Amino acid sequence: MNDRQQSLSLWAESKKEKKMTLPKDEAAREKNKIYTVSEVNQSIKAIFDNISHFKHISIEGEISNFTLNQRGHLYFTLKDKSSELRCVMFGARQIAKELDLKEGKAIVAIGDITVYQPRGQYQLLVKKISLAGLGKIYEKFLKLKNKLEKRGWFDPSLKKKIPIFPKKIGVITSPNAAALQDVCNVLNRRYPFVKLHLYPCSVQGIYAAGEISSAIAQADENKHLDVILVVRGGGSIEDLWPFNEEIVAKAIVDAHTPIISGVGHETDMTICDFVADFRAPTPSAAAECAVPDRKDLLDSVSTYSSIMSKAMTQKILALSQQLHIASSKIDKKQIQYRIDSFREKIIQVKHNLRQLTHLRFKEKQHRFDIFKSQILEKNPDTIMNKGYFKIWLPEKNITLTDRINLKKKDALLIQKKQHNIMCSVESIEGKKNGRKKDS
Amino acid sequence: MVEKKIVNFEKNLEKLETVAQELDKQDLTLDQSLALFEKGMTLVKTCEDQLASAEKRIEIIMEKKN
Repeated sequence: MNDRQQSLSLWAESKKEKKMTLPKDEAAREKNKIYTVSEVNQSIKAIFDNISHFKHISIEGEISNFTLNQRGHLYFTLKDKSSELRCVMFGARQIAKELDLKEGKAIVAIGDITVYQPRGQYQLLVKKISLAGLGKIYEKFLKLKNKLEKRGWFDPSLKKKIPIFPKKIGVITSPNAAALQDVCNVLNRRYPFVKLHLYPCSVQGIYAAGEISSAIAQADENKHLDVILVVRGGGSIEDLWPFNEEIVAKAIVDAHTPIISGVGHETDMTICDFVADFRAPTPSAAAECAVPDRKDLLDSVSTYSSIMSKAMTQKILALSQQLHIASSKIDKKQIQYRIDSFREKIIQVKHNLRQLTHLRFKEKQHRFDIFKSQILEKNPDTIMNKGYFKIWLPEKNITLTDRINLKKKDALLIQKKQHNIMCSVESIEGKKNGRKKDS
Repeated sequence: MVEKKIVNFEKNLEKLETVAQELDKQDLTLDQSLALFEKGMTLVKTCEDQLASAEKRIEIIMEKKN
């Protein structure tokens, strides 16, 4: 049942009780003026219920003893420097989440002061809570944040990747502000190889939100920008307010270029930070996120250099070891021995060859000598030297041999060693078994 | 001009990474290793020269409001 019904039922209960007790002990009571607890509490409640300015009263204080039960009923104490007041709010789960209610929060609670009769306690039956003072702005911020979050504008899957080596960077900020100087200093120190395109705008005041969103749109139209920085130095929540406006958030969400937001100090969170593709705590940090640090790059290069040197050294070492192993497998002594023995063999063979050749030669020489003497023996001159004659037939121009048949009167030339004798055939006698035969 | 240099730098760094990985392979001959090593060291020198230039400053271009 709701709070009003509960109040009514409590009131009705109290009436019933009165009707019940009065007939019995009324006389005694009236006489001694002794009341029951319930009667007293009832009266008190009646008094409270009659006080009109306790209805729909706004009370400012700080939350303490904060309890949100499972049913979503909120119980807390509202206090100031010297007093406290018990409060209850039914169905408070959503508002508690929306306003991030917790211990110590300064709020304005609106409701009725009622008496909870069973306990004899008065309390504020809260109907509405809002944040006190500055909290109003914060409340506005939280409402918009919730709204855009529900729309999916903070969805991590929508966030674009920031390129590692940007060539052109867009910056949305005031041209006179320290934020720009910070960004330039960081870029010059870390990575001075970029072109910076500055889109100037106001960064506080009533026109700022429009200028910022317009500048973002203009920067996004430049298709060559690799990343856009939206930056602004520190300030109060009012100062930073333009970066909480929906129009700025929309410009960021609609942009195709990756956007880094660096607004205010480390602890400031703006709507701009939530929708951007990357949130940096300050303008300097935004610049740092946009580019690599050339010191780191030099270190990387150094590391590669070391890796390569090591790899080279290891390669050479490995090859040397292979060479060493291979060369140790070659037994130098054995090879020398084999070379020497071959050498000896060659010498031996040479020697044998020489001998053999010499022998052969000697043989041949010997045979030649034999043939020579044989031939010489057959030399007619040698025979003639022994006292024999050669007979020449001048008519036939040949030497007389056994086969030649001579006739009478054939001319013969007897060739002796010292002189020749010319003669002719007188007669020829045939020999047959030693006997003479005349012809 | 600036853009060309940076594109080269980015590419050089990628090449350097590739060369370093290649050199780690076991199946290279000595000649191949030496050639790669020389290539790598040249890249190192180029990158270092590009990065270490102390007087380099960013170029700022002011865009007009729409």
